[in-house]
Amino acid sequence: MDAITLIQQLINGLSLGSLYALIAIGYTMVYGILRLINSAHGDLLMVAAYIGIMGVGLFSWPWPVAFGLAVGLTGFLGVLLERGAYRPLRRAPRISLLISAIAASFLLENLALVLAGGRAKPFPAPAVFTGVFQWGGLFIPRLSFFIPAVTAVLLALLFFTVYRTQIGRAMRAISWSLETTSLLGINVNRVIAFTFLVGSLLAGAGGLLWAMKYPQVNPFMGILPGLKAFIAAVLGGIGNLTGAVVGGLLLGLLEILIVALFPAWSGYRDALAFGLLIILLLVRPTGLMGETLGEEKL
Amino acid sequence: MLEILDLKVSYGAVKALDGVSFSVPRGRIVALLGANGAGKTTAIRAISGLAALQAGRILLAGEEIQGIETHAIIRRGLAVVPEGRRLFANLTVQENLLLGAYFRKKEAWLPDLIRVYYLFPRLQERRDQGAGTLSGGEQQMLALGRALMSRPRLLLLDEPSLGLAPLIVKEVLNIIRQLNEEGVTILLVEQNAAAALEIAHYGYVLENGRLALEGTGAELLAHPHLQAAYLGDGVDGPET
Repeated sequence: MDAITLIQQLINGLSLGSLYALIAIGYTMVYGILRLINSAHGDLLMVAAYIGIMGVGLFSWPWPVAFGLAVGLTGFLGVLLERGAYRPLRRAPRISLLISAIAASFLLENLALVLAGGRAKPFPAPAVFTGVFQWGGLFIPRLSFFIPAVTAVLLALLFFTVYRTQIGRAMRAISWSLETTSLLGINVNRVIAFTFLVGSLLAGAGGLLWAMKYPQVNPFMGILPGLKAFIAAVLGGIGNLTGAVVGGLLLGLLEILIVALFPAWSGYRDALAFGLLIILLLVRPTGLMGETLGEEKL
Repeated sequence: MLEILDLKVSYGAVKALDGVSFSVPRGRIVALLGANGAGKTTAIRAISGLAALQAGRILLAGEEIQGIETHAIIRRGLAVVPEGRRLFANLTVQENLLLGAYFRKKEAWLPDLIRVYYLFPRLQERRDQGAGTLSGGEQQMLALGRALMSRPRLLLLDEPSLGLAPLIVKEVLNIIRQLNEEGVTILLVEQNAAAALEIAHYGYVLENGRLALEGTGAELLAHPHLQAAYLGDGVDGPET
């Protein structure tokens, strides 16, 4: 493989990894606070993509409006999910919470199936995001620059919120001990809702970017990226924000580079990711940056 | 300031509190004493809305607070230093303190932060350190400081002497007394009766979920029953 191909593949890997990271954040934040694998999280990508199609395609709104609405509504849907499917089960055994999350996932997928039909729809990517950069022998889709750039901005905002603001401190405090957090006069329900909002907004942004990268929108399109992002979150150490980002980038690069180095294996790309998950859970279940468990979680 | 009327709390079939009444007058230090399992911590949990009441009323500054959510009770001027400090070990010292002032504006809490650092200079030295790296005494200071950040009217302290060396216990007691002199009403829950009664104006003794004794600090210290049960080894408190 020559240098140009390598650079091209690295950029591809970075862009795929950024998407994984963006989605993995939502898993890891919710897990950190509720110890819940929110399996409906991946489906939020699909919801954002459909709203995007509706806005840009059906109503011909300018893309910033349509995209803003798609991301905003997806965030709102995440909050609704918490309110309807998870909050009533806060004191129930954790397995009930997990089952409720699986149910929520099926509900969203089948709702989309009924409303939008099973046939994949093309995503009408706005012109800004399409096209290819050509630079020497290098051909890089413009989107491959946009994705990491957008991700970087969103992550900067996220890390500022989590590490420099009161609500961010409260989020981290809840992940340590929900009860003690409430003893400081903090409305934990509001903080948890905010966590879902942030995670779902990121998933909404990820969904739009994903739909432009792979413009086949169908009711089940969120499943695979959701699973991959989950692997990324586990790889980095679930519950750990930095870990989710590192895990996402690593998984993205790994997938692309393996396929680039061994083109014959390209059909095994997903198997590779899931194989990695199995090995990881066997060898280092806490992931690369395994978290220290909060006192209520031991 | 705090009025507890006929409080009953059960965990399943176990009656943790079985009709307990006591009061903490404004500006006082009141001690709630008793052995392990007597219901002291349950009382604190009930007052702060963490344990559901079976019966009884709780009045904070004359208003009923039973059945209100914990965070709303706290915002009425109550602060709790829970048993075992319950610091956020994944946050720094200063972050722990700032969370104590979560519902207040920065202009309002800034003087309190300065005051906490003045009271506990060790905390200022370690403000950017993880709260988990502190020694036991420093952790107790941080738990106290975090509670003070809300500028409470009433402070509930659950076993502040637990696991601390006698010298540190003295220091903690002095600070509690000082806070009280500055106008904070205090309910001090302790197993270490001798230590608590040194600073308390009035005390209640819980036994198996019921009040067994009450009286001023001096009265209780002189009471033969209490002497026999809890005051064996002075400031160190009884081993259980």
